Amino acid sequence: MSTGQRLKFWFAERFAMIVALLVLFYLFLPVLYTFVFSFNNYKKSNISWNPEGSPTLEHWQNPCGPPGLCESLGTSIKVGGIATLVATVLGTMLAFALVRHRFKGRGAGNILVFIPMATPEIVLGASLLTLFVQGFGQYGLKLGFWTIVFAHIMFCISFVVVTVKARLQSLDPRLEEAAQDLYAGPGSTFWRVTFPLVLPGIVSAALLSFSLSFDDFIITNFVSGDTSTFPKFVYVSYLRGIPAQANVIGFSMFVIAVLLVVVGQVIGSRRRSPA
Amino acid sequence: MAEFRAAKGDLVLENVTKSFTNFTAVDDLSMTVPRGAFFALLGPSGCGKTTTLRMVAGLEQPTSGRVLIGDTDLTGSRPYERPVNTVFQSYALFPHLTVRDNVAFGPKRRGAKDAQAQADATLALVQLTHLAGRKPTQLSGGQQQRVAVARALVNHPEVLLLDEPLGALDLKLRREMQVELKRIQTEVGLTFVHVTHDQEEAMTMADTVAVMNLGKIEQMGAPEVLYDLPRTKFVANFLGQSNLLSGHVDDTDGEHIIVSAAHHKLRLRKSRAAAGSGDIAFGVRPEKTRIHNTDPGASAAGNSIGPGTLLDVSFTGVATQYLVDVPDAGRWAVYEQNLDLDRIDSRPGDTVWISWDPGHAFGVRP
Amino acid sequence: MSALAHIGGSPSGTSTTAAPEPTKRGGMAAYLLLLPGLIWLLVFFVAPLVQLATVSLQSQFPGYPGYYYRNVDFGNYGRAIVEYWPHFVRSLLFAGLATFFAFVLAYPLAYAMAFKAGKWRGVMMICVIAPFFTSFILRTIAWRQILSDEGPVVSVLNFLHVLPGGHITETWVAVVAGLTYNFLPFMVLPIYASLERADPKIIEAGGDLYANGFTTFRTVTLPMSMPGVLAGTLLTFIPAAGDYVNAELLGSDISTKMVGNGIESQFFKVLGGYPIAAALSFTLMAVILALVFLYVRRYGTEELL
Repeated sequence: MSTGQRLKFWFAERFAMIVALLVLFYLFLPVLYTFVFSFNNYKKSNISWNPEGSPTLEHWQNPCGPPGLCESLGTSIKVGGIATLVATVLGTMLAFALVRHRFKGRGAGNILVFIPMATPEIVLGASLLTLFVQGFGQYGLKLGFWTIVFAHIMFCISFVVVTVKARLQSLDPRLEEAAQDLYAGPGSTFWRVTFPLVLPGIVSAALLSFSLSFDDFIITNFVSGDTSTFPKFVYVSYLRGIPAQANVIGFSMFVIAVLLVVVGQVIGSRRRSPA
Repeated sequence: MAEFRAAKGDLVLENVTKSFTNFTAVDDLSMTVPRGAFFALLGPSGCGKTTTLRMVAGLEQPTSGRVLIGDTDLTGSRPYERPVNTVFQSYALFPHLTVRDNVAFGPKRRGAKDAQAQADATLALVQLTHLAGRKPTQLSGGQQQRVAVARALVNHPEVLLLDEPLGALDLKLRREMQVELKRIQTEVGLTFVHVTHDQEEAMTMADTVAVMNLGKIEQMGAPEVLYDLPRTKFVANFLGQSNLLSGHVDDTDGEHIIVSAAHHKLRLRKSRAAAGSGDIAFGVRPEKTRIHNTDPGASAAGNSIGPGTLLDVSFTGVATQYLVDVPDAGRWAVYEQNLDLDRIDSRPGDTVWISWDPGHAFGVRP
Repeated sequence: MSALAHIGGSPSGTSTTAAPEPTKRGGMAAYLLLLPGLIWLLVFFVAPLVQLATVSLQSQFPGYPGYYYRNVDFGNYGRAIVEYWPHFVRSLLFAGLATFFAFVLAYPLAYAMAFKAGKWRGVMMICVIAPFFTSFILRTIAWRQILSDEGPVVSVLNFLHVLPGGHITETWVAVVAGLTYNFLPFMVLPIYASLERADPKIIEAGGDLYANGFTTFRTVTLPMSMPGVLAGTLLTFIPAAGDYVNAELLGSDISTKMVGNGIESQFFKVLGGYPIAAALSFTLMAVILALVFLYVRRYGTEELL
């Protein structure tokens, strides 16, 4: 083989991986920018780099400095937590009903769960706004924290159902038969076998819900009234001058999320390895 | 292993039928499996053997008929209420539990205080003590299979059901596990009902084999009896291979009947014929026949067929297989052990005759 | 020879007892499980859409901007389309382009994760999802910085004299780039999921049969991942077509605005804009559902449901 041929072969073998790494770099580039600009000693808005006085640790020392920033972060976390909890419970129940039971209207149920995912967020947001303002407004409902939570639960449910359903469908029905064969009644078959086996699906559904809720801007913007979540805070402040503390918090959330996932994976693989 | 309960009664199926929306899987089946027996349900896929097993386990309920152990009617009871355990096809081990916890699952559900100790004792029986802490996915196919057996055995069931338990193993491991299962069965003395499509597996392991086809039992008995004297065409061909020739009973001659088929008059013992008159299929096993270059003559009258044309000869070491085309009698197989020093030297195209010992021929319903 | 093949052997074909159907019939349990979730979806998904539909038919109270009365005025749809048809065209065009580019970028990544990554699979998976947690608004702002006139991309392109107009932000290129970036993970994950389920041995067999890498890809790998590609294109196209944040943050004042911008401004910036905004939303939803329906019919699979 000539050097040229060898080079060509080497590239052909690794072509997909090389492209994949470039795409991953592309995915991370804005995160890197966010990180770098958290050290920017900017004047009015943290958009262009100011070489004077940069890098500075000022923003990292005082992440809650800008008024409303940490409050909005707290709101995001609370909304995400409640929406995840409720959507995971409701969605898991729906998934069990849709996979395990045959009943009238099952097809319609499947479609009702699917369509919210096929509807653009702006339409969801707009329709919720009209309902909250024109429909529920007369009963004293005000746009704010709870309207955000209600909306987030709604769009998270569909994703939970899809995730849990996939897990349930791939579950070998013989495992539940084996449990019954080994003297487990319906209750203990569910809690000892079915639930532990579906649990990873429920956990990933919950993680997905939280990340969708935490990062949602479009629907939130429509139904939040004066309440601010973290993405909304960033969007609004972009128009007036974005503080670098937003970068500090955005990047920290990224690091925390990665750490949590890594720790989770390590614990998971520990458990799987021989005792 | 004294703590295992001896089986308390025979497993009895009475007129059991299982119909699904568009077909009948099991059709009015009755059978008795004697306690302590190693019983095999043998048949091609779709013959209803697995459905039968699932009805014994309680995973399916019969459309009509009864399932009993001894005098206890189990019909309608749930799987977890029956003193019956199953070794599932592809094992169905709980992937989230360790081997020990898999085995202890049954005793725990029944509230046994020493569930872990029972599990360990049973794991010792299947020689897996050293792997008790592992998860099933970390075991080889043969090890998983033994865990599945232990998980069922630990409960001392009245009847142990095995659903194609060796189907996922390679040939060598399969032979080992056949011996192993047989050893365990002898040691614990439980009733084993083993479902398989592998006739060799059924014959090596079971005391009694029931051959199933289209939801019915074709024939039931000891393997050597089934093989020596099949009663139906299906059994004659499903257990090993047979040369079969359709004809009808022409005459009787003392202990024998004379079957007229393909211009031959063939002799058959009355005791080995499924019918004494009318239409019958004459059969003889290929390894019970011999091949000749010349007409064996009057001495073999009634116990030979020919002339035919040799189509194929294949030498397999211990034996030679011949395939002969006999006019109007179809293709006959002859399987001769290579014992003779001066072997018959035949080539495809030669004219040959086939003969057999009259005691080996059998007659089945056409 | 067929007769001899039988001797001593077992009949071919293993017993393939179908896995028993776990489905239970009806009963209270099913409805108890369904009820809370379905009620939630009825109240917060179906009811809002009904409300939106009625709003889209309302008329403005003459002389009282911001007040409406109940009506069946289909004219709102006409007015919405007359005023916003260029936005519609841009929405579909930009979303289509973004979906195409996302596919081109996502496929090699998903492929490498499924077949080449080995033990690094988990790490790559985390890498795909992790950027989500830096708010997507922040990342879009970062793109504005990356693509700004002083940023590295424009500097290099201008140095090479290959950038007509001299800048990227405030053009449709930036909007499409932003859309592509933001919805890329939604393309990667379903494709990865369907490739992961595929048996690499089949692809190897394809490689043996065709020898040519590209033919193998076109005839074996791609068809096997079609369910994932289908789900991925939908999950990318739908949110992209309804997006307005990228056009707002990366685009220009007028010539790159999408339908979403129209809806948003009619709701929040135009007094009395509710009916037009609602009509726009409904039209957008109808167009997208129609496209999805045709697309699923064409490349169809029920797996999505």
